[in-house]
Amino acid sequence: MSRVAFAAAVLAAAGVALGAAPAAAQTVDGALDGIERPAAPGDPVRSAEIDQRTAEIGATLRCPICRQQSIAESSSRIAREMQDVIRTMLAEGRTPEEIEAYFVEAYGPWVLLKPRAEGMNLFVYAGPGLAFLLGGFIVARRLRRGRSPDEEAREEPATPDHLRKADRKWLEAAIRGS
Amino acid sequence: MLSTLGYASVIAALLAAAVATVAGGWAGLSRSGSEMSAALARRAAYFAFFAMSGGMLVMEVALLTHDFSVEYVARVGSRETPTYYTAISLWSSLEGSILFWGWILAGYGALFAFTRRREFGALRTAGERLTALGGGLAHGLRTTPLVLGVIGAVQLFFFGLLAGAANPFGIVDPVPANGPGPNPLLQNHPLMGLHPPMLYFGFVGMTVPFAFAIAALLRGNVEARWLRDARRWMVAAWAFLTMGIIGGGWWSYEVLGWGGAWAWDPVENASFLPWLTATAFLHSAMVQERRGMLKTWNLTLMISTFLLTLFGTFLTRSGVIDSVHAFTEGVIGPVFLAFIAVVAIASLALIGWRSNRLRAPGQVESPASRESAFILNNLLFVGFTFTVLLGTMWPLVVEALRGDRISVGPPYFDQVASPIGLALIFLMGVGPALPWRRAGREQLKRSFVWPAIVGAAAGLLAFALGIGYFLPVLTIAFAAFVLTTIADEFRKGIAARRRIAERSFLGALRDLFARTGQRYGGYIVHVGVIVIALAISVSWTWKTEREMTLRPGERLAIEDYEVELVEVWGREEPHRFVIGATFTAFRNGREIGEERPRINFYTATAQNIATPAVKSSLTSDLYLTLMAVDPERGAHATVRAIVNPGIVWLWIGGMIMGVGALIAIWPWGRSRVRAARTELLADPAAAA
Repeated sequence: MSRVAFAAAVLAAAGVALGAAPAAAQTVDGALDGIERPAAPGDPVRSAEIDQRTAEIGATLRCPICRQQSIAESSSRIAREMQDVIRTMLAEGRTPEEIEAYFVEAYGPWVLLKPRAEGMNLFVYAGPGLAFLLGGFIVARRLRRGRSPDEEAREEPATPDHLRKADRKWLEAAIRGS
Repeated sequence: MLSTLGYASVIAALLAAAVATVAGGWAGLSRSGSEMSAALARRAAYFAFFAMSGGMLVMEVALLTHDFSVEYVARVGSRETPTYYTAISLWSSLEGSILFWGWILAGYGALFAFTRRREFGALRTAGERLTALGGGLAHGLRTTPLVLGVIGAVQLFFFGLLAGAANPFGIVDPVPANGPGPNPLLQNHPLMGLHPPMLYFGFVGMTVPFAFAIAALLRGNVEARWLRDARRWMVAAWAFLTMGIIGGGWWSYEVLGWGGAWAWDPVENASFLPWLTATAFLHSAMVQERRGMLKTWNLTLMISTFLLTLFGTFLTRSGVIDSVHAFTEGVIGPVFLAFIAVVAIASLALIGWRSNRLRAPGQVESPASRESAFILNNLLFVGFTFTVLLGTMWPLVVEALRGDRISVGPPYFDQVASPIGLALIFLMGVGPALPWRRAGREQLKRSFVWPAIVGAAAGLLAFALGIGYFLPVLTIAFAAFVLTTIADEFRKGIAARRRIAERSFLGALRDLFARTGQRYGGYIVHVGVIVIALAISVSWTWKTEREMTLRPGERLAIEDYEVELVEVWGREEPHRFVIGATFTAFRNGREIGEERPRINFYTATAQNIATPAVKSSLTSDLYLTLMAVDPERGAHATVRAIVNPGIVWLWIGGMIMGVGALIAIWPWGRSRVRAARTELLADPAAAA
């Protein structure tokens, strides 16, 4: 393949942030910076510990241009820039809460992959529990009702097991008598 | 020309569906139950399939010959797209996928009619004799055309969509010289030819159990054979759906480049919801089969499953929720929603009308019984369904009520799904070992002492080996517990067969599957689920990731792997540019081959798709994604390496589940028929 074609391919590829929708298209120049920057040799703050914490925080933040991907997973340029922001803030000694607040300020609550448990959103956390309680209650009632005497009496006597006490007595007497 | 032919096929199928609906309904519901109308319904079902096959063939011809006068082809086709992806672009956009859906639906209708073909003959020749044999049988004969009628009614909706709002055979004038090709994500991996059809077979297959349910409600009667057959169709559709979901995870792993298989994406959830209710039905149907209870409940589950498949399609295809699968937007959203509403309301009314007739005679006698384990299972599955539905729809609810945009993503779902999943796994070990009706103390001790010991030992061992996380340890303990009960069930079953029938070990195993495939096939499915649960917890616990920029000759080390950059290259293909990097991979110092992660740039849509390179092994996968390359000379490349332990077992577990489902519905020759007949004769109450 010719050098020209290669350069064309790279330029074209750089026109769009990696793996993202066309909406993410940026200028070629800017994207080239983005592609070279993130892990370029000599990037200031990279340590195993900061990487680890960055990934943990990044997993809870939504990549703004992707679909249901966290910025830790996404390879798009903006996600990688957001990770750099986290890294820098961590290096400055900010807490994860402060970092989260910073991103909510910048992008709105939408950026949190796990909504804050407050206001209306309480329901999304309480809902499953309530559903299980309600379901459990219905099932338990059914199970209890199953053992109540009047319910058993109403049941059709299909097998001798189900004969009522009086009937069984009569039957036993009849068998003895024969 | 092709447009006209295709559209004519759709119209013919639409007419056939109308005939099937009316004739099937008449045969099943009128006082006399005309034999002629039953036969007509059957022929109409065959004809609808014939006509839809014609329509699909026309579309394939149009796609493969690049007939851009057909609007759909102009939208998803291009002369540069490889033939394979051109052929499967049938389901790469809305209209084509509805056409494909309609074809499968017609296929299910025809297949159902075909499996019951003998009944139609019997109905014609010996109706009276059969009636004399017993009400149940005659009733069954009238249910069949009614089921066909309901399938016909569903066909009416889908074929109507094809004739109207989602017409794939629209014409473009002037005819463009070329098209953009399918969505790049859909032409980036061969699995795209497999995962969507599987899902469609699963989704559409849920129509048959739904038709069974509606037919039973209309006739006000559910007999043993009805349930057994409905369940078999459900198992088949369920197996396709399972394969489709797992295939989708595999596709996402191989294509999307973030190293995971499941993101709780709204559309993934949409395929998961009917799977949950279908699974609930497969379990609670056994309670009805054995004890005659839960009739209304089972009908509700069958109908809900169908509704959820419609809902899933609505989510995927209406563009309501922006997600990786919502490739299209269109006018079909409201139409779909209206259909869902009509089906839901009509079903509810039917259930209300018939619930008295379906009252169950039996009752649960003890909490320590298999039926109560099944009921608990249903509680968990339905609660799970509600939870996933709530999380998926919540952003929409909030946006509609308050105008705020929020996200409910993987961290939320992981948190709420883990305890439910664990409880289900635990129950998988308890349920099979419990007897029907009630368990005595001795029996409980006999069944559970060993599994509990093995489970506890496995958990302790996992802990001792340094697994510091609560969930994986618990998963491993439960998995060991479940596998022990399953092994014990097989041991007992095989021993019994060897004693009674004096069979060899394998012969006894075959007997178990042939005679009680539903049960022992189910256990195999459970083994598959356990394998998947273990794969998930292991890969989550030990997944490691590293990212580095390398020059040729430099190495990145991660766990027991090392990768060395050989070169950065570029390639021009007709429909895309490919930039790639070649790495040599080493494991424990030994070379294990070349890896070539790529970035594909699709010219027509100006989209970039990173294609990871995956080196799989039974212990762990090495997963490389190319993040960036030096734009000028290709002098360096940035690569993200992920080591994913045990992830292969996700796919293997899925295959085990498929095998289990196959065992459950396999036609084991005449022995099964004979067994069923004996059962029917021995238990006339079940047939009534």
